[in-house]
Amino acid sequence: MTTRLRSLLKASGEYGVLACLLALHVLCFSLPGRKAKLASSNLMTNLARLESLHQLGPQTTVLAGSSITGRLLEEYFSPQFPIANLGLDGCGSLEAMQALLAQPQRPAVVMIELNTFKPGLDAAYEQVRTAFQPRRAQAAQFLPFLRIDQRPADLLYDFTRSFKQSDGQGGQIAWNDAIRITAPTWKPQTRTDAEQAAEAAYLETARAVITRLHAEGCRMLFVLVPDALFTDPWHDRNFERALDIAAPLGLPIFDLRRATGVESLSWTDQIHLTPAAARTVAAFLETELLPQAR
Amino acid sequence: MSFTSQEFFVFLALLLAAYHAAGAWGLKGAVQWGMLSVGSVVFYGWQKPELLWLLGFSMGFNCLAGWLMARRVQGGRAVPGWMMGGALGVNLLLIVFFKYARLIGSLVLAADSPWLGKLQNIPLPIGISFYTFHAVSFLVDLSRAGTREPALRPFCAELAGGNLLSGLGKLSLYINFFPQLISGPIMKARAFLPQIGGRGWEEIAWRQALRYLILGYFLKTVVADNLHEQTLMLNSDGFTALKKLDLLLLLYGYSAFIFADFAGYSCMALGLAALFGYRLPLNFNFPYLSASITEFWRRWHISLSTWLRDYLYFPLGGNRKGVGRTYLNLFLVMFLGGLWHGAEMRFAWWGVGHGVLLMLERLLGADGEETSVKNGGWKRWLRMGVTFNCVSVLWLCFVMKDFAHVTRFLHCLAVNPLGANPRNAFAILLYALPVVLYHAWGYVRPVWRESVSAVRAGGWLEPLAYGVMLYCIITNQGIGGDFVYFNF
Repeated sequence: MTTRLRSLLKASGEYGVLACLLALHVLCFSLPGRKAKLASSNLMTNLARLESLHQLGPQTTVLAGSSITGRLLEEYFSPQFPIANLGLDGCGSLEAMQALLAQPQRPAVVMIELNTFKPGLDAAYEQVRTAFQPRRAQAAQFLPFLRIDQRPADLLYDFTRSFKQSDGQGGQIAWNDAIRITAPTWKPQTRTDAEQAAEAAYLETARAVITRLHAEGCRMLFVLVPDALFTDPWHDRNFERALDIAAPLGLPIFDLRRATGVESLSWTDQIHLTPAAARTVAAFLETELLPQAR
Repeated sequence: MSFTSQEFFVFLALLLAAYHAAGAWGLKGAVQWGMLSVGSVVFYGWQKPELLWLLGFSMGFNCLAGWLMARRVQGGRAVPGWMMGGALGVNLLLIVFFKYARLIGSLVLAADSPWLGKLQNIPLPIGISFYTFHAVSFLVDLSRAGTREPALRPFCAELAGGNLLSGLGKLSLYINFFPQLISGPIMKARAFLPQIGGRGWEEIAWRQALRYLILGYFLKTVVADNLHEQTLMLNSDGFTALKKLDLLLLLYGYSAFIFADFAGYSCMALGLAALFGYRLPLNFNFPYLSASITEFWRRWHISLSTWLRDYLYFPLGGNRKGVGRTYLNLFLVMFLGGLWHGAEMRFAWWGVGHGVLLMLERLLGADGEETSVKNGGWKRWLRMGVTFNCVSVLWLCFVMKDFAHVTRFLHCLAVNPLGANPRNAFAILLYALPVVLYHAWGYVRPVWRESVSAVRAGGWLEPLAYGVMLYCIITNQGIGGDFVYFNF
């Protein structure tokens, strides 16, 4: 370190150092695209996604869901197709829509992830909701160094992650049309009294949320994002719920697991898509499915 | 009110402005410390004002007991044992009833006993452990004002002279001083009461106070709050599925977290007190550099360990009553110190663990003259590693539900496959780095004394370090959680 720099440090004190660091931060990280895509913790990732809702444009498509949807990063879509990923780790699609409802702006399209359209995921959302600071989020629109997706630690994490998870773009799969579901093909499940009560409460809330978003001009569709749980009965229940709400409103439901080519996708843990597979699904959504909703 | 809440900053700004405005207008002295005393009551009662009556009772009772003692001390007479015993007994009864009745009830009553339900409903007043210790220190130090504690003579004379209102106000400030009310450092009466008085704006070491605050907020909001999120797994059964290195990282991450959380609070307390011209004792001295458990207790939560030594270990006889009694005293002090942290068996186990290790060290002769950091060599490194691991394992009693979970964690550590999740590893290592650097600084200071002095004399390192910390406080805060020691 040069003598001049030392003298400068000594003279400016800690507040001078702070001012320089903040200026440097704004200079380096306020450029478009300079943000952490995934934070170093699930909670921070969720908070960053909630914060991004403060900048919703009218043409935006919101992907409302869980960590399954969370893998469909915004950067996988073209800039002409603005996406706000509201895949909240540990939560479900209803919780994501509730978060959306709390914002004044409304997007053009809401894609509801069907994989987690089920009760029992509200506890994690309560933690996110409590931790979220709306005033800080508002201030972050003007003071970018307050943005959660510009936290230095998360940017560093993202930077190191980019080396490890380089996926080479992955191959594009030429899918045929995703199967549009119009009627259940499964038998209704039997439920205990407690499950029925939880189910009824969940459906009531979900219906209210979806009806309101729909009434406020959002075009909506349910999508089952491909996961490796082909035989898991939880999806059947999710379909039942979705149909119950979607049919009266005329909302479409798509099952991407039934599209051809899905067998070549890969998952990190049977549930979450690998980056290459996520790119493929994102490309399909952008070119085939979501334009229909628009 | 938490030091990290928005209402606290408003409270602090108002109190600080009023305090120094009073000083500037020549209203130093009673007006200023009266303001601090009232402000501290507001601070304490902000969220649960119904708990103020207990604090008020404690202060009123101790003031009365102090007045009776002060009259005897001023008259040149010793405080009789029944008076001291009675006064201490009432204080201990309060803490036993409000803090330990549930634990005692769960140990002696049947699970379906209706009394157990009633005991479970007794509220736990925040900071009762801390203000009871202050009260004990007040009574004991005051009783010695005529002999061993000359610093307390002016206060003793004032109280004995019948100035009960002033005495109550000063005692209230001592017990209730908001920077240290809830989580310490535990001040001794002989160190705090003589400080009470007026302060001018120009008498405040502003820069030092602000630097303590920066360090404290950095440790809490950047290091501890982020590490808390990364070590939450220890609260659940999810850790059983983790690999060996993940478990080790969790263990060490929690050690770094608890240090940052508590040292952060202590630094904030020091800084806040300094803003009003009061000096609190340092509570930490690079604790993870300790080469033995004995040394650890000289470096960790120093105000608690010296309190336990002065008001419990020495009165029990210390090491002056034979070998067997020394071991028993060591064990008792640590066992009670463990229970002081919380009325649950896991804290008792934590105290027992430390007590047994202290006894073992004494038995093996490893508690004597510690090799200094400077001249330690590899033996000191080895002992530091062993001590750190023992301390870290015992911290599990703080975070896990019960002792069975602690043993399950150790079992998993032994049998689970080797490996780590890079995401967890990255975050824990990154956020624990400041704690490592802090201890590295503590290590190099005596070893490279001249180089360190030259760097410090250059005057650029500290502004740089504090500037970076400020930047991290603004840009990289974690999710605010309560301080761990708020629960004690």
